[in-house]
Amino acid sequence: MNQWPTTQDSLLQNLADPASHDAWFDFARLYEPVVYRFSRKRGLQHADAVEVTQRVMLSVLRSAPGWQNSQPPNHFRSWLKSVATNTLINLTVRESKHRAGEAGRVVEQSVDEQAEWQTEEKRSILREALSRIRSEFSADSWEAFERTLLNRESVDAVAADLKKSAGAIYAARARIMKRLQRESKTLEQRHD
Amino acid sequence: MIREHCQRPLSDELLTDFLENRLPQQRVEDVESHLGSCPGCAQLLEGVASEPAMWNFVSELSDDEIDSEWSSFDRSRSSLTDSSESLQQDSTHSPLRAATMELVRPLFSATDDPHSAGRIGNYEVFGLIGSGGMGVVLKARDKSLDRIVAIKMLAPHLAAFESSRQRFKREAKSAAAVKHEGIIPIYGVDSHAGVPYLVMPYEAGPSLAQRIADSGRLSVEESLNVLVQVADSLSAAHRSGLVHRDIKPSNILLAPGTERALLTDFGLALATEEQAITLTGMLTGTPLYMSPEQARGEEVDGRSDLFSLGSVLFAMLTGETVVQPGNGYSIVRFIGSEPMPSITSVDPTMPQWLERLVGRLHEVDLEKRIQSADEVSNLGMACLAHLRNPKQHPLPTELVADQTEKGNGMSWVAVASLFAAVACLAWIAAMFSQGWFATPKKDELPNSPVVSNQSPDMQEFVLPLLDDGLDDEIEDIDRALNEIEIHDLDFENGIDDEN
Repeated sequence: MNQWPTTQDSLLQNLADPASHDAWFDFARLYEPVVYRFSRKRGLQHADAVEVTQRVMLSVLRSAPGWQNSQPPNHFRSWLKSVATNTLINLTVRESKHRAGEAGRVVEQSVDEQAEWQTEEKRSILREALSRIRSEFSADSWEAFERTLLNRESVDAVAADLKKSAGAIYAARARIMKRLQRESKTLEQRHD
Repeated sequence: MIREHCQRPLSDELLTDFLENRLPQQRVEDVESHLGSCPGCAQLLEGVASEPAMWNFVSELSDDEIDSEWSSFDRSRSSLTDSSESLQQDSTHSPLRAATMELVRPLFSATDDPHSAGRIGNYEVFGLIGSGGMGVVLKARDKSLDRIVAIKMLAPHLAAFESSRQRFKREAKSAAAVKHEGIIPIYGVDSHAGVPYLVMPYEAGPSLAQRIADSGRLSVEESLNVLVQVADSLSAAHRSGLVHRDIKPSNILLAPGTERALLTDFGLALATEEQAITLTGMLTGTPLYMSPEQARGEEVDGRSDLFSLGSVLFAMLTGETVVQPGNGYSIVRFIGSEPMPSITSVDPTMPQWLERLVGRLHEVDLEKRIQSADEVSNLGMACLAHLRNPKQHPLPTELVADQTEKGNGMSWVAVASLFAAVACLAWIAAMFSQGWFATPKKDELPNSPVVSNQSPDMQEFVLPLLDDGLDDEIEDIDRALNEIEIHDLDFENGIDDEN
């Protein structure tokens, strides 16, 4: 898909290097919520979703050292998605022996898995991008952005609160959106 | 499309310049003023800033319920990491502990004993010994046998999960299968209000983790003393084909001083022939004491426990964990891929032979590692004998010098004597630097009073969750336990009879 460029970056190589703890920290912060939410959306309860998340992270962890000398999996993010799906199925199949019905239903669901995964991935990337760019904007601009867009308050009400013109509110949140789009592209490219 | 209110819509170029702050101040004010009164142009601006799909997506980014549950898990995970294994912080006041207690308290039945917080089956509960991610450990009195016991109760919110119940079942089976004076036995398994619990003898002593957190590192002699005892217990477990898999200071309970070290928590223990390996909870705490083969997810044998025991020895001698606590995944990656730090890197006065002993346990190469718990015990005892009477008991030769090292002109005897001399000096220095003769502080376990609080809602909530075969499992365990004769140990010394 064209919005997921296939540029290889040093990120995967960094994951392969045992000494680069930061790369892992960043990776886990971005992808743990993706796997967790993906599992929850497929019907798993909290503890099971946590288990899937841990197993997926461990799979990556154990595969990563091999990428130092050879190529990491092509299209890392689709590889990751299939690791997550397999882990989820293995767990639900094993559990379904003990919880007949409930867990089976999880596997049977015919959902657009690919789309769900991408939604969660994009969500996590955008949330991460937001936290990265926040310090670049004034407190007023950020408040205008959050309240009108995330909390869906009206532009006029927020403008009155912040003693700004409505036009200034439109301007502030559009600048944040422009910056957000750029930052999230960068993050996406680092992970494929 | 939406330009109905606007005679002269703003151009894309102008809006781009506006967003990039490339317009003179006067023009900026004009544009802002126009945007405020013209919804069409405001929408044009949004299109220039970002794709419409992006605007929609971003408007859905606020925390939802799943996000909140993840964040609260993430926070509890870090508090667990910080308090229970890092040896640095006092875990008795952790918010997690209080929260866990709140979860269990409503399950107690009413009691007429004024000193009791409530009843679990045949037991009067009168204190909280500890808590962790899995549940709580309560202090209670067995009314029929009039003895103090420890009740380990699964956190109710985990009772619904197969993996948690499996862990409980395994712990009961494993601990019951190995009878050894250094291993805390299981008296029985039962369930109360649908939540399973284990009954064990109550031990007053602090865990090794608490001991290190409260009074710092142990002396060399105390450390070796604990090492030998844990190695003996492990030897018994390994002979029964059982690998503990979770050897760490918080699973070693100390009776007065270091006279007795008791091994507990066989929750992760697996018989070596069992193939189904669960990772449950592995990263909910910090795997600071994990062996490299465990970290790689391979099947493990008793030698994995010996590696962990090496990390425990390191912690006793230095007061520090061998791996710095932090992100669980980084630790898993670190173990086995980087050289393990030596005790002399923390304290240069540590004797070389001791460093070698830790090193032999920390061998990443399984074949080079000490092969059996018996061997660890024998080595430890030889070292203890040497400490107490160096003249009569020379160091075990394998700890004197690396025998695979090529000599550089000096004879082996000369090298050995030099090492012995250095070790001796270092040991004397260590003795003084550690306050060798100081009496270790006797630490009491936290003993918070528990207030009874009946909540039928809680029971209604929990009961249906367990209506799926758990009782059958408990019966299985009970049968298994009945088949195994459990010898009551003499716990008189360990029982805290203040109550």
